[in-house]
Amino acid sequence: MSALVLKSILSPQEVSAILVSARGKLVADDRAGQTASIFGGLQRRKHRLALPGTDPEGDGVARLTADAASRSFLFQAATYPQAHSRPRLCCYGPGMEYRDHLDVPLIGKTQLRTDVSVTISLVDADDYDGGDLVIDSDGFEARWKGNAGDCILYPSDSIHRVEPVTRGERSVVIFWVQSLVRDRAKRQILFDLASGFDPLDSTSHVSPEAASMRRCHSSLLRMWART
Amino acid sequence: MPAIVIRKVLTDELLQVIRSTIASGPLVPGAQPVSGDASKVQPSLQLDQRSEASQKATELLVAGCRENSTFIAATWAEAMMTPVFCRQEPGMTYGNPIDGAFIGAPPNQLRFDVAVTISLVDGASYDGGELVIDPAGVPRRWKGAAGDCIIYPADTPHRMEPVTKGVQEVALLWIQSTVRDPAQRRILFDIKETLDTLDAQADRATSVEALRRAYFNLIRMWA
Repeated sequence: MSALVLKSILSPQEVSAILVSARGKLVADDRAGQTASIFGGLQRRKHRLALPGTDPEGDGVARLTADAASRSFLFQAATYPQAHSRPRLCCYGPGMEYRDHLDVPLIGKTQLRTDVSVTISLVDADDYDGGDLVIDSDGFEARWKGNAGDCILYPSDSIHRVEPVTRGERSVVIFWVQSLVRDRAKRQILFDLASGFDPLDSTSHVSPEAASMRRCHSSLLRMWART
Repeated sequence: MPAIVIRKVLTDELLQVIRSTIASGPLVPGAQPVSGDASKVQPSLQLDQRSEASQKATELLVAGCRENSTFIAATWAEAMMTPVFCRQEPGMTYGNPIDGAFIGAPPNQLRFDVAVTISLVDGASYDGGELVIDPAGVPRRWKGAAGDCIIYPADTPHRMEPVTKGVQEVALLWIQSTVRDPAQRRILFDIKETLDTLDAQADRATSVEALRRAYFNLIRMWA
């Protein structure tokens, strides 16, 4: 599964609720240099603000975001989430950035496997200059700046960066998904199959073709999902 | 993967040529039925596989099948055994010519993934002689019109019932498939059928191309 953009996954009300809850509570989330770990000497040159993991407002951010992801058919069809990290609010003001890096494969106490990286924008693209999310897949760079509520999903094994913000603030919510379907080529096939035939919509009248494709989709899911 | 039935996999013209080729013989006793007193059981007849007629009928039959896109999509045939042209009359008992998963010795070994029965005469022209496929204790009986075929995974238990009146003529085929797993073959078949239906529609949606990409990628993964 390559990168996928989903428009308006959060409603304007949810976006403003998240922004209001975090107002005045962001602290520096910086790192400059190399950190030794099981994953080798990680280069982490980041300079941004984030809601501290201990802040109780973080629960509301996480809940609103998780609810939005679970009600989005396309989000589900693209990721097949088995678990996800706690969604977290980050903010890049002028001069802030996160240079090229790779997300580590396992995170947190539960050793969540990062299969899909998720970024949801809380501001419009016009609200800030710079701050593009640049995803580099083997030399091809994809740039993304979403509007408030928009979401981008990309495989967590892509090198990516947030370019320096030159005006305004780039506020986003980020989290990682561990997928029931680990292989991204398989996720792409499931997504392509689902995109024409909503396999979760069993209520309305369906054509024989849609019924047949739903059966294929669920057969593949049984074949591939590791629960 | 349940059985797939294809109507008229062979055209009437081709059928006629195949049948007259078979009629030029020679017919020899087929495989010995497993059950019963061997001295009393008369096996069904089959076209001698070493005969010229068998060679010609095989070429015609295989060419006919290869022209049928539904047949191709249902089997993903990469190699097939010489077909058995089988004739069963009242009093005869059909013996399964295939025992095991392979024929031949390496490197000329063939794996039987798919079994095909093609009806060479109209099912209404004889009594009995149903093909009974019993994948899981739920037997399914089949008798085709002339030119129809039924395709099922080669490991499915099945039997041919005795003919009580008239003459049954069938061609039996065993195929090694590019896609070994029956569940995978079924998925490819279903997507292909759906694509054909959608492609034939005048106002086809752009999502058809997403479906086609899924189909192509599954072929890349499995073939």
